Amino acid sequence: MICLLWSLALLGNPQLLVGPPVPTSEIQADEPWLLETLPLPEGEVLEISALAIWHTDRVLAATRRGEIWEVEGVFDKNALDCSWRKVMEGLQEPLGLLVQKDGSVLVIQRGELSRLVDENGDGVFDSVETICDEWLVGGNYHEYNFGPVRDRDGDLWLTTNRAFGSQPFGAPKWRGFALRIDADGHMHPECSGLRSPAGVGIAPWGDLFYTDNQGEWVGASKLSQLIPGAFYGHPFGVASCDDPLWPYPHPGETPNRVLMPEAAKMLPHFQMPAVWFPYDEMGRSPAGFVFDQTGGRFGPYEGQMFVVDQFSAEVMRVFLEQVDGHWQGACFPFRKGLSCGAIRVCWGPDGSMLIGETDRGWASRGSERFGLERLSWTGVVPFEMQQVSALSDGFHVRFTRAFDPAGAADTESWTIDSYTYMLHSDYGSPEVDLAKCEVLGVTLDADHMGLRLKVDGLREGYVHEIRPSRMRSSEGVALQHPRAYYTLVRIPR
Amino acid sequence: MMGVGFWKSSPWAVLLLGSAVVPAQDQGADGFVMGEELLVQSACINCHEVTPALQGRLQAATAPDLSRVGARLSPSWMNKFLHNPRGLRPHGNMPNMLAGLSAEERDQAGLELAGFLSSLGGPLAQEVHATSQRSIESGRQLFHSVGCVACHRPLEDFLDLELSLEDADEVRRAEPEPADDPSQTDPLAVPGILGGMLAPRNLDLPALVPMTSVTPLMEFLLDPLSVRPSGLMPDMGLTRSEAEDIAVYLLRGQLAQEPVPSPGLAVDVLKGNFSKFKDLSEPMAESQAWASKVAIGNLVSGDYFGLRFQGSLEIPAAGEWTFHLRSDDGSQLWIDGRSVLNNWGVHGAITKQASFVLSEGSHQIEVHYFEQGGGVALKLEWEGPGVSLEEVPASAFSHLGFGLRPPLAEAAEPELVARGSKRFVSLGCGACHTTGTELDQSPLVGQGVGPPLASLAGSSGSGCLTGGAARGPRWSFDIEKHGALKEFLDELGSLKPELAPEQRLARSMTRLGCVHCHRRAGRGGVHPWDRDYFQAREGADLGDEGRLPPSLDGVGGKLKLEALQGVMTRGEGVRPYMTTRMPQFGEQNIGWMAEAFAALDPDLPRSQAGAEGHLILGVQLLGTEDGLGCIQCHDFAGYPSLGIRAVDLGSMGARIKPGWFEALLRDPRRVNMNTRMAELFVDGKSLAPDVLEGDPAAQIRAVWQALSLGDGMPTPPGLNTPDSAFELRPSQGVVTCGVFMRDMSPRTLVVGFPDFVHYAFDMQNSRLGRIWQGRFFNARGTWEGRAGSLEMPTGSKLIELPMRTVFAQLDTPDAPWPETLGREAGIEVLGRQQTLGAAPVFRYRIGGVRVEETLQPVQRKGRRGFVRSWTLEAESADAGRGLILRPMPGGELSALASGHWQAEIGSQLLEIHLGQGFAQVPLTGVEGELRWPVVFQPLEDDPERFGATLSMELLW
Repeated sequence: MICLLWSLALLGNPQLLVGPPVPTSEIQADEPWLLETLPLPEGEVLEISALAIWHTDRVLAATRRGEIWEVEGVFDKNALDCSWRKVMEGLQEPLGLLVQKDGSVLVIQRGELSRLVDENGDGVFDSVETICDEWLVGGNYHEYNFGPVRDRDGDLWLTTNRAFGSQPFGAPKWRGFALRIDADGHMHPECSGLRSPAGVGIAPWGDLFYTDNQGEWVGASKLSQLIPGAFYGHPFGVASCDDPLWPYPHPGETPNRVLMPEAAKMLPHFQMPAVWFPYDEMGRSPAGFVFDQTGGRFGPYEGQMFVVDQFSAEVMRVFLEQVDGHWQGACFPFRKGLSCGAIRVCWGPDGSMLIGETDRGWASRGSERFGLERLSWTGVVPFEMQQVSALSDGFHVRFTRAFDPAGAADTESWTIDSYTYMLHSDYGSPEVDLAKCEVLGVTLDADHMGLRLKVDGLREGYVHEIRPSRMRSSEGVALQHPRAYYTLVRIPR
Repeated sequence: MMGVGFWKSSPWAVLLLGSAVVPAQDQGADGFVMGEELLVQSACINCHEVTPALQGRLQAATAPDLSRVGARLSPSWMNKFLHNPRGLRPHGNMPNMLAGLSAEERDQAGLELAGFLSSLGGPLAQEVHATSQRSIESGRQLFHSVGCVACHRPLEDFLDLELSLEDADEVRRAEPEPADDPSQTDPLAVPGILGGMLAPRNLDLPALVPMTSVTPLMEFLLDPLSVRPSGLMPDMGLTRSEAEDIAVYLLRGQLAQEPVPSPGLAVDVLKGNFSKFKDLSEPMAESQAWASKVAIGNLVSGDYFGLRFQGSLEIPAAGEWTFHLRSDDGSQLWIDGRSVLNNWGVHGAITKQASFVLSEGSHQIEVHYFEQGGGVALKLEWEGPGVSLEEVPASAFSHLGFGLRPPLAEAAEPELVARGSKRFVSLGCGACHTTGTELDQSPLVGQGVGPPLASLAGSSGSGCLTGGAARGPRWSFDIEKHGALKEFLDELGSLKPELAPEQRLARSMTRLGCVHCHRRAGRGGVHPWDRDYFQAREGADLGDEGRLPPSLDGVGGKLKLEALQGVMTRGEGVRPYMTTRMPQFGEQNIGWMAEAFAALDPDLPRSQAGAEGHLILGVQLLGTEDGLGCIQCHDFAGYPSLGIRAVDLGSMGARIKPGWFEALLRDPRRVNMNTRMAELFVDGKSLAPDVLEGDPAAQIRAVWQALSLGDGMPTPPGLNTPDSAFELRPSQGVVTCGVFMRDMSPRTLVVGFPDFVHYAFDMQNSRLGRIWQGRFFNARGTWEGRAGSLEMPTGSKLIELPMRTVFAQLDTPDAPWPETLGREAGIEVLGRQQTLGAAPVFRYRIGGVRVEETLQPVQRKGRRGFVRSWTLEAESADAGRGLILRPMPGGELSALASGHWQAEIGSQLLEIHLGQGFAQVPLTGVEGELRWPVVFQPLEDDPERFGATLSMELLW
């Protein structure tokens, strides 16, 4: 395999953790979600880089090559009959689309945030209006921008990828930032220290989140809340914070080779993640994400988040809860085996999930190099950990189905390891400061769909990897994914 | 090994003199030439002095260097060889040096010399060499395809090569070939048919089995010139594994009858997609090989394969051992039948490890590995008692397998070596051979031990020719050769120091065996009996041209000297479709030949030599779109042609002389009777009648102009290269692409029109940056892989426009033009109007003036170009005050007529024709510039607002 760019230096963590072989049930279980690969127009290379629904049931798909296509019939009974029409070209790396109420579409390009308008109503765009181009591009291919996302005040948010290597047009400011664009099209840097922030989105409750990819200064891929003035650990763009446009305190000098929870103590503006995605266990390159607001039409995870991964061609699931003002939670494997690494995801009007795929020349898992896929729920409820929430003395695990109390109640059937990551200039971090937590007791919820683990050895700032080994549903079925990774930044009091 | 033997009673004069005009004295009888060749070959002047003047002409080929002969040859073979050199190697040049000794002394001398020679770097190593059927089979095919059989007798019938070696052996056992009938002479050896150039394929290869072993033979094959500087055995350009394969094939007579403990591991090579398998226990092996350690090496290449390593692992000490298995994609380690380490699955290079207790001694080991796609990696490391982390060494592995046992060799007693060394000197071996050791030369000095050559004229010819002398070599020439030598010696006195150049070439080509492959002046070429062994690679349907080495007639007029030297002495071949390789004979041996060819062969004339060809049309002619279709057969820049795989177009400009090229294109058959090169100009009519009015001379010049750019020439249209998938062709309408563009900006939109005029617009600075014609743009650098390259246009007639704004608001109309661009110049980007397939309109604002700029293609009087127009709208009557338009094209500007200017930009001439909205006369007071004030008028539909529309044509 060809490594992802963001895994150039350190591939996983060979010395520390050699996990047991992945149980075959994880691969072979009947899939309650149906995956359909949508046919692409003959001969076209459609490296899908952005997705949006418009006109109720049509899909706009942008491609890396600067085109936008309109797809009709994706949500019809036979999605394989869907039809494609090119409606725009000549854009530069359009990595995000946002349909506006007036029917125009916002698109982020390398050098500008633009508005696409179909002036004559023939369904093909006629103009590209520059909304904001107050940042510059150095000419490094990694100078991607992601977004836009509209916040509750109506402003638009972008995240900017840091450059890697040569910038023939100079080294401009504001790489590795979250930027806010106000209604007048002016740019305001809001967050610093981002690396490869390939996904940005807004939660139903109004908070903004972004995903970042493992690499230097990013010990493990992560999901973080975007908070104005916060620093996310990567010093690449921090010099821009001396610019008067930066309205917040300077994030300070980034310490090298400290544990993440230590860094959080040393740097007042350091933002701990909501969730870490352990390398290779939970993808390698998380990108776009959506929150399940399908009202149950996508399955038993209403309100939770789904994240796609550009390397591992999978969809992962995240449960979030707010503890002491900090959003944190657990991530779970959800669905592997997409045809290609995925970077964009959106909901269809029928509650199915559309997934836009490109390996972006980095080689990903899967048999294809690009594509559009659709995942829809068959109505089968798998036996899974539905959510894991933190307690002051352990975790409360809820399941999608009632379980057999026999295996569940045995403390021996629960393994909880905890570890954290280094903040350092090395490429990625091994899982460090490993410790085993002791499960002292298990209390079953009365409905036998949940249980409380009383745990000794919880640590703030550590991933708690929870592996039940003997859980069976009341029908005797094993868990489809018997692992969850809870990033415990705060222990509830 | 390859001697120079034409020991046929054949016409030497025809053979070596041919039709070339030669000095009368050299037009001697057959015997005279044969005599000279014998004398040179036999290295007579190493013992018999000649005048310095003749030394060059009669110089012998350097004899093999014996410095490390002990490491190569078995002592007992050397002993036998010394007793009977002609018997063991009938076509070798080694005389019998022991003939003058008594029978008893002869035996003693043989032992002593063999002992001494064996001590030189030896004795021959005694390790069993592990091999595989795969390797033997590969060597078998290589031996019969790379060109060995041009000089050596093929070991198998060509048709047998289609069978496996085992099957072929079985067939041969069932139907033994009739023994060679000495009375059966080669019918083609008759004078006049092949010019008698038939040289017997001389080395009896099976005799290698008692002679040497795999490693030294492989080393010899890899670098024969270091042992035999003469070039008589040339370097075939083999890779290490090819050399090994050939060596094991030639020495397969050394194969042990039963499987023997052999180093390394047996490997089953499997083909297929194994990502769904849980291990590789089941699938059938496609072939068997062996490997010294757990590594992919050159066992297999490409994607979708599996490897199953099996054998024994020697654990040096009991205790806990940790194994690290790194692989991309999956792998699994089995010890004593148990899966102990699982790194299975499709993934990048990941290391997994496992620890367990192992007893000392031998354990059964298996490693399964599969590769699906992308990168590959496989490595097995261990650490344990007394061993820190390291790759498991080759020495830890063994398996029962195919093993080749070398001939026995023991170190000789020092006393025997010492006597052998004395014997070496006393017999005069040093006259020809070097040993790399200081020898006691006191008894006799090799050089000049015989009487001077000139003194032998008219002698009875006893001496070393007949074995009459007590000391020195015995040649045992037959009566004919004897006579030839005598004849030559008798005329030595009148011999000229130099042969005529063509003769010298012919003789050297014969001595070195060039004539076994190449034909020149009616002589040489592959013998009809051997032609089957000269094959083209699969798919190269080029007829005999694709498999037989080319004729060298007129080669000096065909190839540039540098190219000729490249192919002769630097291994720079251009015919990848031939399985036979051009051997390397060494600069010291044939370096002079390239210049000799160049001096002898005239350049062919060119028509209108000075005229320059039309580059772009030349590229078009090479392609299949209204061209001559050269890419139908010829590769370009390493990319395969559409059909057969003839010589790469990208290599031609640097290799071929233009006169020869023109002659070939005009009439291929006249240049090469047998060529499959298509006739492009039948009766003077071009296959591409619409290009350059179908004029052959102009077309050939254009093609030559394109070829002279080598690989740097634009890809001929119609060729499928990795680039061509990214070639943007605006045939249906306007095509646009956003790119990083060199010397422009990272926000550049390239815009291509079906009219073959294109431009690049810097969207960051709202500036037209480049215009060009012909091909539009290749987006590979932007679209492929990680991309983000700095792009340049693909086409021709590129014009760079100056790095300045075209509008500025100035205090005075003649104020210096600002050097700032874009935002710094007060220009705000508003966006663009852009509908698929139509020309974009760029929108920007300068102060209170909104500008729309667009370019539309235009064609006027045979020149292509653009109408460039601006529509301006001022927010107020004052907003546009002081706004100046300066559409400077750059370059040297000259006025043509009213409202017409011409600018010389690089090699292009760009005309400006004023259109709408301009005062005919530009502002004065700015020398060498064109400036106009923008005059705003109230808009018709809204008199409160003010507008202006301007346009001009740019033609080039």
